[in-house]
Amino acid sequence: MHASNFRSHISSVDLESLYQTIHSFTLFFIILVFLCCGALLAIIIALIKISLSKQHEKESVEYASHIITAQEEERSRLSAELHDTVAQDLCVALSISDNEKQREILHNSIEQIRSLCYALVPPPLAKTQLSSILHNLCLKFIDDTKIEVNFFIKKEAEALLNSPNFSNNQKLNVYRIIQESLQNVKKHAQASEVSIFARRESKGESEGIYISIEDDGKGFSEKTAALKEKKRHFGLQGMKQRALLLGGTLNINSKTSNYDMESGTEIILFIPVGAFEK
Amino acid sequence: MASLIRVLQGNRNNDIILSMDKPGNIQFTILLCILAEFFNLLTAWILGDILHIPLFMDTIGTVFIVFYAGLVPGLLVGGLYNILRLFLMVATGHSFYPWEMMYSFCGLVIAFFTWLFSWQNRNMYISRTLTILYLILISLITAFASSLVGGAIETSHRIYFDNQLYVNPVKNFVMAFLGENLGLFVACTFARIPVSVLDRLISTFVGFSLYQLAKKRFLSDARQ
Repeated sequence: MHASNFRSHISSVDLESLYQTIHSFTLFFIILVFLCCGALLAIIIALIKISLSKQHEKESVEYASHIITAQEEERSRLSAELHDTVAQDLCVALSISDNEKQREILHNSIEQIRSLCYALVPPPLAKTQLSSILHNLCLKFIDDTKIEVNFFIKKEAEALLNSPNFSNNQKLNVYRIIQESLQNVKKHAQASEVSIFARRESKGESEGIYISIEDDGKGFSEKTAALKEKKRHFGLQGMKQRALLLGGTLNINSKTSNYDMESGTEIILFIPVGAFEK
Repeated sequence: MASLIRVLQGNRNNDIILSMDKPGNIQFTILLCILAEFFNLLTAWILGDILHIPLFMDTIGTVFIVFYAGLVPGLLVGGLYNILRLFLMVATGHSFYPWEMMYSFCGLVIAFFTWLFSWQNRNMYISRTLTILYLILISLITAFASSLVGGAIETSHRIYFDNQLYVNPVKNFVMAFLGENLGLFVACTFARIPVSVLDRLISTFVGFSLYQLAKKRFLSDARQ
């Protein structure tokens, strides 16, 4: 049918109505597009924010990694310096000293410096299993502090911690976290007993290794921890950074003495199973 | 709006902020501006006048030059496009409508917002995902801004002259709004949005791709 024939068959009222319908649909289409674009804009802004926060998280992990690597290098250097200079000089002084009192003081100083060197230098993770190193750390802690230590690693957890897939850097981070926790117990907790317990959780999102370090000391409040961080005591912060590098988390629960509750501190390190699959 | 821009742009007070408008080779930048302007005219002529695709497609060169050389070259290319097009139309026998030059403001707005979210935004090139997200954001924001400016210009034009110039891809959409008595400014502005969004998405991505190609070809850009 030609357009002219078609026009002759419909009235101007119908034509007007047809135009009105087309306009209504066009209007609906434009408003729909406008709303979709508004929604798209909101989604894009949200995605940008998410991407940026992920990027910042990645950057802070990289930053923490650099800091911790630098820290380890500096510790090794300090340990070597102390061992090769001060400790050697003290040994010479000890060999030439006749005074018994002086000899005792020099001997104690040499022991302290050796202990410091041992704490500073990274453990031989390439040669020895992490569980053995942690066991030795606990024995040394008992020797130094006379605080009772209960150390127990479940077999499944031990297998993962000693696994070759778990890199030496990751092992070092676990070691340093436990070492720092014990150091805090020694310095601040006034505890009589410490328990270190590692287990493997194999269900759901929380699949991984849980290591808890618990003491029966005097505990601390959040206010005290915040004050220490303000005074540039970065122990807890450093532990958290190391946990972040492991892809895990570090939770600290501390109770100060109360009428009905026992005091103490519990540090729980969680390492997701993904960290052992690299 | 200000806080939104601040959030999306990242930190302006950062030493990474680039010193703009100081191209290493001015002659080369001028040559690129001429090529970009020619590209704008060419795409608008082929896609709009010959193929009758209902899109503007006249800012690919503007986007390219903003990414490559910064704000001032972008403003020049974007601002001069409508003036040059008008003179070309007159030269090819069309009537002279000076009001057409007012649409240069759309080009200026597009150049400005593209520059704002690319040159003043240190986050854009952090990762490929962010680059794509920011390109979509630039497309949407320039689409809304140019629709607003274009709508205002067309409203004024209709009030003062009561006619339509050349071929306008949004004419039918404006008629739909006017048929519903939604007001001239709303009609002229909203009617532009679907066409503008599609046009801006294509132009921004093609312009950016050309910039990437040029960067690879010429090794460096004016930012360095």
